[in-house]
Amino acid sequence: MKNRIHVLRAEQRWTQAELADRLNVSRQTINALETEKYDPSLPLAFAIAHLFGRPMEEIFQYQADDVPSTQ
Amino acid sequence: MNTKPPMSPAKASRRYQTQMVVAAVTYIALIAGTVDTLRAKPPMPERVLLALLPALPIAWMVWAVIRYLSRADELQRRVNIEALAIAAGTTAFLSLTYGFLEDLAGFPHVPLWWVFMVIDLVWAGSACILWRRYK
Repeated sequence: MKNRIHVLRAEQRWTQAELADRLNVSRQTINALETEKYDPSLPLAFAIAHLFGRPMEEIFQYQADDVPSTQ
Repeated sequence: MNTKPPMSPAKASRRYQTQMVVAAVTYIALIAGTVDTLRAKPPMPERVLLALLPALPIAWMVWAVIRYLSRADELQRRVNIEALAIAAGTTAFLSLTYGFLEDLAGFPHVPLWWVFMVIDLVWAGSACILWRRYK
């Protein structure tokens, strides 16, 4: 799954640690999300959308070859 | 996410690491402090109590792990639980296999506390390897 978390964070001029604090996750998890190595759970995806004030589909783009529940 | 954990994952990690170091130092100190007395074979109730003393910081370690996992974020929990599953499976396999070798093929006896060492080492090693997926 593709996402724009890195761009949205840069717009807010937040560090990874600041974004991690706002989402109550670790900095490593923010890094894994931004590098698209990890797809967030649905509640975390909603929390990210809510924090940036954008609809979810503006932040996350589902790819046709994404297989659910892997990575 | 609807029930917000009371402590941030970053703070929980730092507290967990501190607790593990303190527990490990206490464990080593208790082993070092009791080993000479135990070798002298003290009378029975004391011997059992002294032998059990180093288990106290280990119990604290187990409690620290459980608390850390309950405060960790979803990715930390995923990596650690997967690593624990690998560690449990590997340790079960190794202890069973060596048990056969010991009982049936006359291999030397290995004390049971090695199980703790193996499960911890495989857990730590697996967690390090699994984290590389997400970096």
